[in-house]
Amino acid sequence: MTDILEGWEIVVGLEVHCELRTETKLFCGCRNAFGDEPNTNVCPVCLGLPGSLPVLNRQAVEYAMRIGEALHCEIRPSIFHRKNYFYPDMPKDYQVSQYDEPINVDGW
Amino acid sequence: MTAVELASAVKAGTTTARKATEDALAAIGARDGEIHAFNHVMGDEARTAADAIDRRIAMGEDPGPLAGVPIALKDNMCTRGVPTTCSSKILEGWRPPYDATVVERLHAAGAIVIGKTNLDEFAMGSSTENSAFGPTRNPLDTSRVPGGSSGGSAAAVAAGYVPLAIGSDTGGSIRQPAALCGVVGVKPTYGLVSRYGLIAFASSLDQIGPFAHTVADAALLLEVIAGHDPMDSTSLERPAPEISSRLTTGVEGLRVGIVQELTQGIDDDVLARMHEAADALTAAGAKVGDASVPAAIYGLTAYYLIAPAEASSNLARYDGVRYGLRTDGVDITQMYGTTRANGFGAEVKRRIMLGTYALSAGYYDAYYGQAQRVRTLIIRDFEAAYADYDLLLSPTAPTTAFEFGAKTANPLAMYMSDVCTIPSNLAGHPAVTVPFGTGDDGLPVGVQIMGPNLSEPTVFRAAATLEAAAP
Repeated sequence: MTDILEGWEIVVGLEVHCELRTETKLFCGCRNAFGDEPNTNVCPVCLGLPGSLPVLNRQAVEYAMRIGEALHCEIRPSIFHRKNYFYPDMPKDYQVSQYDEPINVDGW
Repeated sequence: MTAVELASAVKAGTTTARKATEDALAAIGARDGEIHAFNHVMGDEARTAADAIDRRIAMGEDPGPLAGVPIALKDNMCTRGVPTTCSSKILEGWRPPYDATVVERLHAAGAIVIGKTNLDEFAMGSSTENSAFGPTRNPLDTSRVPGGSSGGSAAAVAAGYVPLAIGSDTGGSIRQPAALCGVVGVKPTYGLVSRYGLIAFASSLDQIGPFAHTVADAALLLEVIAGHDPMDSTSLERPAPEISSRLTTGVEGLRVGIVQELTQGIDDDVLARMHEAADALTAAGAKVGDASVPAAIYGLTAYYLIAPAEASSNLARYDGVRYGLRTDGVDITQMYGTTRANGFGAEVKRRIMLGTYALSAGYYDAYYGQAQRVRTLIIRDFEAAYADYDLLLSPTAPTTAFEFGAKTANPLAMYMSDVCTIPSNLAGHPAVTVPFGTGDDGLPVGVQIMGPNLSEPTVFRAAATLEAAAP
């Protein structure tokens, strides 16, 4: 068994999803609250209705910068990209996330 | 009556909003069976709104600068409770639960939205022949197209139904139909008018703007709809510019450059009208010369990578899940496929496929990335030209209005209709088209004035000068 393991390095990555405790959602003014009646904390933006546009939540950016500080990251100006794919739980059929220029890099 | 005159008359009590509305509805009823400028006429809503305006005036209130003026709205802008279709089967009958910011501002200014106008499906086209609900006819010659994609809005003004209309311009979709229909059309500086509620085609290129018979009316409408909107992150953080008050200050001493690259491939009679317009500016005291924007020759190519790429992403949401057309399938993948196959027309499908390909792994940088780099070259070449010239001049479209079917056999032939207008969308700067004479066929010719970002007051001054000098 040890012969098989020699020559292999174990690398473990952690993808951590963390809900931010903001008053409102990431791209609109709807309440960021759980447990309410379905379809009550919604608006054209988070429903991805035709014509809607996102507006970034400032508090979420500040939390991200704090996380970056805590993890010794270099905090940088960042941009959002669209990750395009089709899935019924995703109203615009793209995800708005960060790709090649994220807010925090090189942490430990 | 112009919009400026009508608003004055309504506020002075010499006419009523209700009368103006009834006149517009009657004109539409009399002729729109033939023209088909409108997808949906808002008779009840318009009468209710007009009566409310008249009551406020009777109580001594001022309902706003567009009090009682009927206005037509391109059917890619959300109107609460009123069908908003983008002239597509995939949104047929869809009623948005909200108003676009532009619509809210029109209401706040006292305007009466009279109906939703026809367009090329999802604003993709230059003739309004791509509408899923039938084309719009040019009111000046019904065997010819009104241009596109805002053909319905251009026709509504040209036919005399309404003094004002709103369109959107991504590659020329306000200016080209305005030129072909003999009316004034404006693409403002990118970011001047909120896009919240405008159903997106290409987000970095789309802008909302006015159609009118007169430069003064276009200025008034632009002042009403322009200015920062917190709901649109691309909206410039500044108030609407003052244009109307400076309209008649003339062009004395202004340096105007004719963009040489945009005089290629233009019909002789159209080019002649543009040179006559240049002469009119000289006669009015401007200094006219020849300008060069070398990278402008790549405008069409860059646009037909960038715009379809952005469209392929913006139109992904039309999938049959939450609203609009749904064609069922054995599973979700088949439902997605058949819904979109049935719901989208040929040109929309063509651009989605082109755009998806241009963004796909392995090709993203070679196509979309390269097109964006070319776009930067175009922006820089315009900046260099603006170091020598206050304004730039060109024809708006290469031809006068063409016949139905004349350019539908070859998509590239249709795309060439926007060769003069596309560079301004890529650069973001403002551009106005003013009618200036006719071609040999008696059909209207438009001349285009461009200026640096936020130079609307200067662009409109030149537009007003050309309007006064037009044959």
